[in-house]
Amino acid sequence: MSGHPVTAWAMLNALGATTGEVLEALHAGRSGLSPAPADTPFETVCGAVLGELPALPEGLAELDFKNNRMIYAALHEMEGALAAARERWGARRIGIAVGSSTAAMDATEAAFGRWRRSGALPAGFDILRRASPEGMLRAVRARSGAEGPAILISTACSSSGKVFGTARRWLDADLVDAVLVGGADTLCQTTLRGFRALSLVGSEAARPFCAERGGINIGEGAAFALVERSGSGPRLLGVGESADAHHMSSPDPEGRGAALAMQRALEAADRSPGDVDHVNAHGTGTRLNDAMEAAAIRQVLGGDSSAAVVSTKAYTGHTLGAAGATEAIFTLDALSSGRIPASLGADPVDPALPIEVAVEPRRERLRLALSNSFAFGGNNVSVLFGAPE
Amino acid sequence: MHGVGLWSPGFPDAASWCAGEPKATAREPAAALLEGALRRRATLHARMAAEAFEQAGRQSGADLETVPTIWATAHGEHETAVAILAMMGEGEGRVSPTRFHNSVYNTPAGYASIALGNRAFSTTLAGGPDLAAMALFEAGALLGSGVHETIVVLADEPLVVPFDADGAEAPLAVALALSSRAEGASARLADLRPQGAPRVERRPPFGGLYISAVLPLAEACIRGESTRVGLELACGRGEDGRGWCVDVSPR
Repeated sequence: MSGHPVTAWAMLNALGATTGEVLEALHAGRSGLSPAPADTPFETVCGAVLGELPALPEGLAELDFKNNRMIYAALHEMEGALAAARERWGARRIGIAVGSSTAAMDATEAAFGRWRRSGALPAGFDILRRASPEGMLRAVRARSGAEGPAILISTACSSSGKVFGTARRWLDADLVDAVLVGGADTLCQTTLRGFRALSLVGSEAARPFCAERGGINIGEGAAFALVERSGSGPRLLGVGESADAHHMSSPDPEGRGAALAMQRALEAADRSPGDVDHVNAHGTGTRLNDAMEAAAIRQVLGGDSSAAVVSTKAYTGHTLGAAGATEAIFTLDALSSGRIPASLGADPVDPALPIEVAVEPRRERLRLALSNSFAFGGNNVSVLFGAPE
Repeated sequence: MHGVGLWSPGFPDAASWCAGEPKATAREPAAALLEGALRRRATLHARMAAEAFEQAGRQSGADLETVPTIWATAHGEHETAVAILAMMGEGEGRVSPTRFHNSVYNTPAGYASIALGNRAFSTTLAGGPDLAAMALFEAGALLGSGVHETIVVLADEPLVVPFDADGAEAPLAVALALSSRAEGASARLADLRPQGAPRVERRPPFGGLYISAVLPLAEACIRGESTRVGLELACGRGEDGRGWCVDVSPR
């Protein structure tokens, strides 16, 4: 046995309100993208979670933001697994490591708009304790019943990939016996308009790795997984974390930081690049990201690698702080089921990219798979998972 | 503990803070590692964090180009985020691209890494009153994973209008250079645990800045005291019993 088992997971995003719905749409090749919110002053599509989500319980009404509603809905599915973990390890031996880029920024935008119009914030609005990373941690703690150490990582789009690194360190150091990892982020105008200002938002659905790719779409969602000291499930084997040391919002065109992250993940697990059968790429659909990531994958896995590279961003949009955990779960599902989704929108693949992009869904027995997430500030993470033993 | 860096207006380093002698000339962090365009674009948050980071790093003798880093901030780039909110309410509601790329919580980490060419592990934590404790917890786990040294940088600015309800009046950056090596250390930290000391009282001018809970630890290390220090800020919200703490002893 090696690594740590990932024993349960759940998510919701533009593809569906439950893990089952999300995975059904993913494997059917259906995109969840829809027109952008009405207050978006340009044309694009988004990965919005449509429909009303259940409100938080009365005692937690002060945390009743969409971000936390998504968290509650996802964790509701994991109730059984979390109860079993509490029973097995004790609540204080279950840690929490979650990621978010903006936490409840959509609520802050609404509160700021109200203040500009009326001179007063909404009653009870608290940017520090409620509409904040602290508020998100409180919601995760309350819903999960986990009472161990709890951290929130905010490194933009790599946030909820890095939580797997934290889980591995905490388990290896025997600080806890299980870690609830995950992430959540909500669509908001700050990120929509901000990425637009950087000329990175596409007006149509993203086409990662395609010759005709034209930019990203923003999405939202929540995703969680339970990593335990022992149990059954695909294995968390290694995590590689690195920095580009290049630019705040543009990736290093040579992909050195991205390659370092993948190399470090393989080294941490003492595994060979030749055993990697699948990569869930960061694959945003910008010209620069996809080119540098393809080069980095080829550098690390080698020119004769036939690993199926997939971006799932055209299904969900780029869910930012939730992307790492969302795509880690897609990777875990691939290892468990042997089903690799098609890299939606990739056909025709950019012939300049030196990787094997899966333009059609595949069924095969997978040994190892990497899940990549790269972020502003040049922050990179690559998570290596192995098939269930 | 191999080094303590600190910057706050009037206090250019940890020694001036511990001496309680503000220097009127220290109104801006030197942040010498940020140069040229990088320096012009960097937020105050990034500059003061860089200054504290460099101080702690120089004291410890760490190689700043390769040292792994842990950054912690409860507010993130709050001033930038509020400036973006204001931009979106004016004219066509366009956002400045530089403001946007400066708006992420890991902005200080990004600037420092770019300035130094540092491609090592780096993470940025946000959170609540126990944020300083969680940063140390993550540092302990990192040092237990085969990494020999790390620098923890905690930095926050007061909240701004209309969200300014935390009673803070000054920004603060504190950096701690930690190593698993005993040789050359100024203090030893042991037994970080969740419930062992009263919560750290708020004190002016930092009010409710969660990261100010690290000040008793920084002070004990500088003064060479043997003591148990709290790491969780008292918030006056009815849950202010005992909280995270760590034992400090001089080397």
